[in-house]
Amino acid sequence: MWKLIAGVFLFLISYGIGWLMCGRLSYEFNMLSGISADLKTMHSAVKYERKSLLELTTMLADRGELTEFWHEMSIRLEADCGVMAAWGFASKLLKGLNEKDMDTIDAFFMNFGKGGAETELGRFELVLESIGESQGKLKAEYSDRIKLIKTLSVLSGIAFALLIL
Amino acid sequence: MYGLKRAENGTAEYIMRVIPHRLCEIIDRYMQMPGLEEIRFRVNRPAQLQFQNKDVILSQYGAITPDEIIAMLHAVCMNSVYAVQNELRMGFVTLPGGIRIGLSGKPIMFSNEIKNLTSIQSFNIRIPHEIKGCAEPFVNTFIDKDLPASSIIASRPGVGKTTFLRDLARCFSNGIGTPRAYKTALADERNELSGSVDAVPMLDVGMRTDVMSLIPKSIAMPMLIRSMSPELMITDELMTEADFNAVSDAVGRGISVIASIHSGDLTAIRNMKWIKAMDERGSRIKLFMLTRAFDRIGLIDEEGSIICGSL
Repeated sequence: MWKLIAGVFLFLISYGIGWLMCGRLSYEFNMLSGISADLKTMHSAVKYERKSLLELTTMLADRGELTEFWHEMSIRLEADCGVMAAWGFASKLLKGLNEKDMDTIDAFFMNFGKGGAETELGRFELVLESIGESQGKLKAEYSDRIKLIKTLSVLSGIAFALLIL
Repeated sequence: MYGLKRAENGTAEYIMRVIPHRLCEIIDRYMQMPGLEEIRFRVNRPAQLQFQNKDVILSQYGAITPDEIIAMLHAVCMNSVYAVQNELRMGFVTLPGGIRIGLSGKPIMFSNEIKNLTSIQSFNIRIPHEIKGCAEPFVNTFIDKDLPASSIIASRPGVGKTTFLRDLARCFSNGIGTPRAYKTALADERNELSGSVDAVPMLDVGMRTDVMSLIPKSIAMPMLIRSMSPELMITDELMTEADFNAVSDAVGRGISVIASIHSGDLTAIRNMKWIKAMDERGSRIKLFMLTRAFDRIGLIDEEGSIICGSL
């Protein structure tokens, strides 16, 4: 009886570890999707409404994907601390992104609002394209890796359980 | 004649957010003094405070650096140059409180049109002077058979045409000194009359006043006529042929127009082609010269008689 319970327990632990690893992997993907969706909303609001950065961050803090990040940005901007400083504080909330994507987004925000509408819209398109590419790569890797991790976690769980039994 | 009383509208806070921090204290002190009209900043030169009859150069505080000018631009644009690009092209940005900031720099021309203003070199912060009541003693002059009379108010720059027109809009719109209140529209091309931010007037232009700002008068006036059916249209600084045509057209449609023009000679205005054409059509426009001596203003009509007191 105890062996059966221990076997089931080991199986669950192994499955849980696999589930956590999948979660970590999907976090980066979800974060990129969130940024991409919010940047698309920003792009439209700049293109058709010419909303200022403060208006954009306030809007996204209310109904964006990464509400916590935009809320932090809007608070800092409202306190007149400048885009670079606001980004410096808020970017700490964008965890889990790889270095290349982080650098792209960092460069985008560090220079945001300094140019005319055409320049800004062009920069939006560039950053969205770059994020889109990363998303595509991650998606291809993500589905394969998740399948592998899930299969391995289930198989290793069964193996541990069998060893105990 | 009427003594001007400066309205308190708490503009200092907005101005302090824009100017270099190291100058905040001294400029705040000068802002407590009466008569401050403009604060000017130029790259590599000290800040200048323009009062009604004198100016003060803050040379002991050193020159304004290019970095400070860039920081000012970002503060003025709220870190979003693209959002005020339309205003930048016209050379000014309006802040909350109706504070108008004039800029000069390097205009980028494309097909005879200014596309953008870059390399900003100078800022001119114009302190808004909303002087409520300054037009009240003159309102009767602008009424003919219980309706607003189409009129042109001329003067040299800096006399107070905009302030006067704004108060006139408030009087007609609220029915102050008029037989009744009138539906009033402001074609506010430079956003100086209403000081609108996000299309909301920051200055008191009256309860029944609709505003169309930051687009040419020749576009705003027909739009306002179609959409808001005003009884009175007020607009500032007629300059171009298109402006004159828009006024003639509005008057021809039975709408009273009160407008201002930069000029020091009423006879020259009367002899302008479009005014003559209107006279021939039977729509005679009244002409007035706005004058100011210290803090008092007066209106002089075409016969040279002074309305509402003597200078």
